[in-house]
Amino acid sequence: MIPFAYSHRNLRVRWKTTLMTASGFTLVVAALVVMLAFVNGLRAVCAVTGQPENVLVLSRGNSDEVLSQLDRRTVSQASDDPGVLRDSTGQLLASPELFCAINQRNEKSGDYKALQTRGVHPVALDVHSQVEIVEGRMFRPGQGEVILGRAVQRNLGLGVGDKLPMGRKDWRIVGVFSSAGSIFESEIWTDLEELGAQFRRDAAYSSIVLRTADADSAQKVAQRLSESRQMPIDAQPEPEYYLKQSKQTEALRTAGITVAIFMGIGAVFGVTNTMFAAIGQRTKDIAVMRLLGFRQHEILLSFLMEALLIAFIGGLLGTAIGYSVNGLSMSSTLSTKSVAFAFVIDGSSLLMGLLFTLLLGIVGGLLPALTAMRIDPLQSLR
Amino acid sequence: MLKFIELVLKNLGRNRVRTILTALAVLVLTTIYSVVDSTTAFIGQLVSNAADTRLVIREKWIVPSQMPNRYARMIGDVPGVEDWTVWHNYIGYLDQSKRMDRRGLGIATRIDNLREMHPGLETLDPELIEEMKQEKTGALVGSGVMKAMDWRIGQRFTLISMTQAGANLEFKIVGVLPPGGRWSQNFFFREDYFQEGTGDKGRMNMMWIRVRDPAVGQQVATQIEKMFEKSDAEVLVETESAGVARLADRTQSIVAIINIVVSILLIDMLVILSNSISITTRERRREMAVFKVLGFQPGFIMAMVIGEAMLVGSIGGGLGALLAYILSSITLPFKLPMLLQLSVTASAIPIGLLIGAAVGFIGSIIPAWNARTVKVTDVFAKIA
Repeated sequence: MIPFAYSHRNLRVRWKTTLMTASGFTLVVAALVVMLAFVNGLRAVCAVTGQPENVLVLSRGNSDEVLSQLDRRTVSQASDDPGVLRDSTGQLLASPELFCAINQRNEKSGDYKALQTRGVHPVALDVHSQVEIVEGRMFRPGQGEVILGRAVQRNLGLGVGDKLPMGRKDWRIVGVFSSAGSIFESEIWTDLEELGAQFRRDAAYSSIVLRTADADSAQKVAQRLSESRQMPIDAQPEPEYYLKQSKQTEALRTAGITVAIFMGIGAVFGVTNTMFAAIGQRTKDIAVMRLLGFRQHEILLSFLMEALLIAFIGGLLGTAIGYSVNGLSMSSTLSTKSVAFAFVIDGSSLLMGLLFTLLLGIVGGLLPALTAMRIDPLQSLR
Repeated sequence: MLKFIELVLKNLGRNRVRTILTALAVLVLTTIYSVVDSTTAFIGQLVSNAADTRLVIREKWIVPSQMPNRYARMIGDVPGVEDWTVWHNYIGYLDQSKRMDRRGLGIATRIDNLREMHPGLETLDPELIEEMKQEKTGALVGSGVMKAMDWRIGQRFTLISMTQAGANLEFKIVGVLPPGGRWSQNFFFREDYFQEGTGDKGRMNMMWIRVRDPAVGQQVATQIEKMFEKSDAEVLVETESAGVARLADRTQSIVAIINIVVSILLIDMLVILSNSISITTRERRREMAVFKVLGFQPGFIMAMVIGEAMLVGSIGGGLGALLAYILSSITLPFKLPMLLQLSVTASAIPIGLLIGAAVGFIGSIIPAWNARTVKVTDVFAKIA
């Protein structure tokens, strides 16, 4: 077996070429890791949104809360399902909601910015039990008060006691809430009736969220409501809805991997070039090694090892660069909503990056290694 | 000059494997660059093509916008408004699969001035307009939708509505909208069919008006906003360019990621090409020394190396962009990811060629400089 040090030292001797070739892999892996982290970040937000014991009801055929419209009668009928829980006072744990984007005008630039706003009743805090007021208090209905999700608060740079102009009037911020990093943190919550009245959406709801005893009950309630002939609605456990929303990131992920594969092919041509050049310079070395008794497959392995080493160095640097975006906060559009999220780099992304780069190394190094293996020692030394 | 070109070609022909591998690397990277860049180019094109003489009117405070239908006539009568149309958004699934990627946006609008009021539809065959006037259920479908759904003209389809629950309208495909551009993923149909089919007669989502010039546009916008200032549904009037820029702003993060990828692709090309040229010049140090002995100037040697790199780069770049153009214009037997579905236009080919040449130029400066500064004595001393 040709010692590993032979491959290693050859790379050190040609360190400039080695680094240049490795940097091709670095870029591929860095791009792949960043793209996967972007998708992971969006998925992570969707994954923590919604509780398994909640059922989300939308108008029939609708997969998006923004486009869904329910009337008062339907909301009332759906809430009457026997599987819906009641609180200690006997009130149904059913939260009718109105979701819309309110245009807010920036007085300085004159531009409009969309603020995602959810009109709810106070019962919403019991239904969405992951929502927790972390500063201030819950809004009082009909008082022109709002509470901000943590991500919105960060983006707007406003706090409790500040005024938030929305529509024709200024709303008073009375609280800030968190919800385990879910999509709700990108929203503003206020009184449903007041929101509807202010923006001409009276007696209109986007959805209703029903609290049931557990995940099994939620499944049963969802099925019962969806099969109802009296109500034109679709019902599903809340996490299922957000999971479907996160499915849209599948296209982003596929696009990212496709781009990485193309970049990888480019890098393969690069490493093939480098390895062919290395073989060209070391034809005599190879011939001597063959005469010393090293076999063809050992030559093949040695040159493959060199290509793999280049790929590994590049891949390692790429994952390190890619890792630097971990935790970086950003906002992105998911379906019709704007979602605040942080880049998430998990072990599988890093592993995928490294395995990908090693695969590229093997593919790129195979042809030159086969050429090296077939070198005729006598011919080369002549 | 001919001598120079001949030398460049001969040099490239000497190590054909390396030349081909380098060109292939540039080709592959330019192919994906052209496809990825078409996404941002599409958004940029939307913004730059948006006119200041077309104004969009929507509900001022809330999205999705809903305005009373009666506003249309009132706005159409405002002095300075040359032409107008309305939009009713009809969103739903294009087939029973109810898949997210099978969602479509139908726009119910006035058909009589469809070509005049929608940029990019000016070239639409007037006969199609006549056919639409005859066929109440007619739809003019974007080329992207036709391709994705594998539909044919004359075929019927039913949109499973998301916006008007239960009101699923059936359409007959009368024609295809001009390829590429912003309407690729939409379809247009008659406003009266929408109103009858859905029973939604009182509301519209948006309105477009055309004015003579931007100055008139300003006055008209102010007047219309004032008209509805105290009403239930206040309106926001803005130029098409401002409106499109605001919508494009929502894609900011995706565009940022795409821009990072595009930059990485360019740097990757640069690194691969530069590396290949560096290897070549290192191997040809003796040859460079002979050139110098024969009386060739250092500048000539430098130009020769740069010329080789630029030629490989431009061939790879041009062919890569051509490949992207061909791939985007043929119907593939498999479905591409959404972000890779955008059409690569023919203009990408010269751009690919130029990018390849530029990458070749930048990537070869250092190797070419090294070739230029080869010392004859050093090289021959080593041989001796």
